[in-house]
Amino acid sequence: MRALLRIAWRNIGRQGRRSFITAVAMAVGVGMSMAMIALMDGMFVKMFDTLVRQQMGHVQVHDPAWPKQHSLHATMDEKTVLAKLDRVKDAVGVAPRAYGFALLGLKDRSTGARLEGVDPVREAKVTLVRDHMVSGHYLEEGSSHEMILGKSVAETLHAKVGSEIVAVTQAADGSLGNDIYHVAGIYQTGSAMLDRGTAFLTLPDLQSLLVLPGEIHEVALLGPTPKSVPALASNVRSALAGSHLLVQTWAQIDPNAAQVIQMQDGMAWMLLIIVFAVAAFGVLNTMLMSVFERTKELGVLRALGLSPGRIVLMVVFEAAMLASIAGVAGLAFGLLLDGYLVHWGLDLTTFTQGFSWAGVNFDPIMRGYVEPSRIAFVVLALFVVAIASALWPAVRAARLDPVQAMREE
Amino acid sequence: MRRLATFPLLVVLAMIFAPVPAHAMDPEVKKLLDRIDDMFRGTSSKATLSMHIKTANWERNLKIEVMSQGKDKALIKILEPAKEKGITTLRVGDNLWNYLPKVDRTIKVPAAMMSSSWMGSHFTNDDLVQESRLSDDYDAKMTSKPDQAPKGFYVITLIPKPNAPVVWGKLVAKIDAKNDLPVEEAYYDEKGKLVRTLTFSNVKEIDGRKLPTRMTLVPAEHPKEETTMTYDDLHIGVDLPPRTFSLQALRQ
Repeated sequence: MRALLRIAWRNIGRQGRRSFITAVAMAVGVGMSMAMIALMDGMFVKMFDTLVRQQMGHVQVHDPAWPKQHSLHATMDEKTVLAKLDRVKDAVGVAPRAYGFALLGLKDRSTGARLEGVDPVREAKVTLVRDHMVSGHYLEEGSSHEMILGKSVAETLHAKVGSEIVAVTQAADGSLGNDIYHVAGIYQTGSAMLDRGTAFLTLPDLQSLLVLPGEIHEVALLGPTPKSVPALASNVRSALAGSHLLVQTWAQIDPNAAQVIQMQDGMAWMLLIIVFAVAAFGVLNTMLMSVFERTKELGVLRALGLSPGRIVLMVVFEAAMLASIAGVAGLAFGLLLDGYLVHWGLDLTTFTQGFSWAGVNFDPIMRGYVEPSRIAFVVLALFVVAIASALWPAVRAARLDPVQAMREE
Repeated sequence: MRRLATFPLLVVLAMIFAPVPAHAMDPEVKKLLDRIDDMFRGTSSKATLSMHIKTANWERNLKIEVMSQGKDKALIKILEPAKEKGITTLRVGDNLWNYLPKVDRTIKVPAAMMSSSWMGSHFTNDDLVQESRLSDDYDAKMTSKPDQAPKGFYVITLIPKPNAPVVWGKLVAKIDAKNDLPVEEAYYDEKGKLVRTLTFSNVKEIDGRKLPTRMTLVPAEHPKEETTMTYDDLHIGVDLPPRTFSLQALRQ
């Protein structure tokens, strides 16, 4: 067996240039796949982060009537629900919210907008609107009659920090709720729904405008990592056991987004398969060539008594050794590329000022994200592909008739 | 588009029964529509109405004062309940403003919100400014005479003309043959589905005219909800200073 390994190693060395080119091709394939996957995963992470940290959180709790119509009357009792949810293990943030729809007016301009009442301190632990202020500041704990506006909403109203906005709405008791709010800040998150159609105010302010004292429409929870979502959802469910409230994960709330993210995952795999199909043909070609060239030599080995099984093993060893060398080189190359992408990102400013895909705005600088399991897959796949594509030439070599083979020139 | 209604809350009525060009219309239909349309005509008016709104979640009563002048000016002021007293809607042409006494501000209703509810009722802002004229925008046809079922009623079906700026797909009006006053008006969407039904009742003589003084609007999707408006008082041809219908006057 050891002799077999040595022969295989020598065979690689005998065709130094060809082996080198094959190994380089394989290594570049591995490195580029890693970089490509890091970029796609970066996009995936960014998209998920945008989705979750802009508005949704990982898990949400509602009255069962809420999803159908987002009715003003589908409320939960703030104190009872929060008391239960604050005890949920692994919840990084627990944010209560109320929603309304109002006509906002400033001087002779007006526009319809969604109102979102939030607890500023709790909300900041779930969503990142606070980090996207263009001017002014985010809502402050305990402040009253303040409002922050999405950039487009503010533009429509010609509102600036300090402007007095009138809000008129149909309150829960049927009356015409109306009040004045000062613009504390203007934000731009990249989410069309938030920037074009939402105004935030404090939860108590909105509850009073809507005549919904102590009532909320939604609680959004955030877990420590995206992977903790199922565990968080089940903890929330057990915390609320016995109540009629609806607990949903982000994927259940927004199946379209979940599908886009799933599709994105599928695309990453497809890309991998294409890259490896190309690599496989390269390896197949090299191995076939080396077997054809060595027909006479292999015939001699057979005549000397090397069993067909051993011939197969020898050729497979050659492929595996080539893959090992290429794997190590490719891994090094890939890690270098990944490091660059994670640290500096891919700057597309020369091509675009940023783009929007599936409702998410992307910076012109694309950043990579490294997921170790994907790297492991890439390297493993290289071995599988190399060995699989060596099998046919190997079997062909084993089937040679020694007498016929030795007569070849 | 010309506008014929004199007081905006009855625009709906005027819409339906506006006179229609003779060439396209059966003289009998035209006579019926003219009779009713003329009934609501006047250069100016002042009315007090009670409004009862019932929805799945709440029920409430409002008292409102409606003043109108010419074709396109109207002012609707809430008198009761106390919490909303003084909230006023001003209509001039296609524009609507709401004045809010609590914050002492006037806010314009944007075009995108014209199909939203007016003050929580089942009437929309659009109903207040609708200028659609049946004679121009609809083809009217008598579909049932009083001797046919339903006995004692005329039924007139109105289909909007191809390019008419109308949100409805079809209107069906039922008119009492005894007094030629409307009893019911059904609004259908473009797919032929019933959207809402407006019924007229409680015929009384007000200011020398016989009028249905109660109108009830029921949305087809929520048959248990309704908005009822009852005329408590109506004066036609009253003298109103022109500045009544200005943004400045809203604040007083």
